[in-house]
Amino acid sequence: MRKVNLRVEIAGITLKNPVVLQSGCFGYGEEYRDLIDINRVGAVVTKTITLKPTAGNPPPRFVETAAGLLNSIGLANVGIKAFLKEKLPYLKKFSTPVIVSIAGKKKEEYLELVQILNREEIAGIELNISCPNIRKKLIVGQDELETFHLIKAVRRKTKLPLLVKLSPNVTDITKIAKSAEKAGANILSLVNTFSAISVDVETKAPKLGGVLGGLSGPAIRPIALRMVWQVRKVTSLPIIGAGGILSCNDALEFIIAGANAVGLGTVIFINPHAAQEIITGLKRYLSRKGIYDVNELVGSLHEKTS
Amino acid sequence: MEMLKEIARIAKSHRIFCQVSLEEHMACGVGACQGCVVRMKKNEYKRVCKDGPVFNSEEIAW
Ligand SMILES: Cc1cc2nc3c(=O)[nH]c(=O)nc-3n(C[C@H](O)[C@H](O)[C@H](O)COP(=O)(O)O)c2cc1C
Repeated sequence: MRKVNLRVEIAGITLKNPVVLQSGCFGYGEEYRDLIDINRVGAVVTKTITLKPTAGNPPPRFVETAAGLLNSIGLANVGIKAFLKEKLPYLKKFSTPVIVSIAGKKKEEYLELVQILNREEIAGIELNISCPNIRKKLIVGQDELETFHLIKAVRRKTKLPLLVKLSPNVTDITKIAKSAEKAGANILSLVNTFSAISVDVETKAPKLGGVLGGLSGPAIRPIALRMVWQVRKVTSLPIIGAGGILSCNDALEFIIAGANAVGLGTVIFINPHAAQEIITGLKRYLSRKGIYDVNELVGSLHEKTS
Repeated sequence: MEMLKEIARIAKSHRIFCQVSLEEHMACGVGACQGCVVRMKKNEYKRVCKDGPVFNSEEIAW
């Protein structure tokens, strides 16, 4: 096998390879101590952290669907204080960049979280803008202006690389992506889960305790891929593409469509060794194709113009 | 769950110590995803995969 380069640099963060473990599917890392070697992945994004500990939604929190997983966790997390004290130290033992995902009920909460995180040695902050906006019953990430104002306000408070996790539950994701870029985001991470429900026909009740859930897994992959492809056309920002990636082939689809790195979520539940398999697969592919650098593949999709 | 709930009730009425082994839909199985939770009386959730699956029936918010 020829020597190839998998190293990518996105917004000043150096990843050993373009494989990122996504928010919420890897917990705080330590749970996977015996299964995943953090040193070998490109980066990790923590479970979304809120200012106060969050208990999350009533169970059941999962429904399995055809080629998909419907979840309604409700951002259950230990809160920023316990996170910094009990969870982050473990992740910092590795040479892999740690990105902390955060969410707030309002702008002030995001700002407070950012100011706390400014004091920490972390690689970046990911704004999960897919959480409910109390005021309008919309989520921030579904509105161009709300997205712009939130990111702009956060941008003023931090020099850390700022990632923004986009919601796919929008009419035109390119508009939100452009808004995020204009406001000062450094990296776009897409997509989060697709809003969905499931019904128990015997009881005629929603299957999820929280009624609404988010769909992830292979079921959403082609749609997520389309969104990455669309966003690539309107921004020069680095993109972390995710949505239903199971294999190296899936990862390649995202990279060729325009993602600088790929995010793994649901697949971790199915196959904890997926990251390693994908990294090995990428090397093989590049070697076979006679491409030295994985960066050359990004957005290399051949499209007929007519 | 309904049957265990009834057993817990009967045990309690006879003052018999009772433990139940619960099942929930699980994704990660290692305590990371917070998916397989059960609600406890102290108004908190516990993970069936890591904190359980066996719980004292009196601690569960049936
Ligand atoms: C159980 C579960 C929990 C998740 N929690 C979060 C979260 O806390 N924050 C976040 O930004 N995304 C969260 N996500 C979304 C994933 O990070 C990812 O964007 C999405 O699942 C699509 O990728 P996948 O199909 O590879 O899972 C969660 C997904 C699942 C399945």
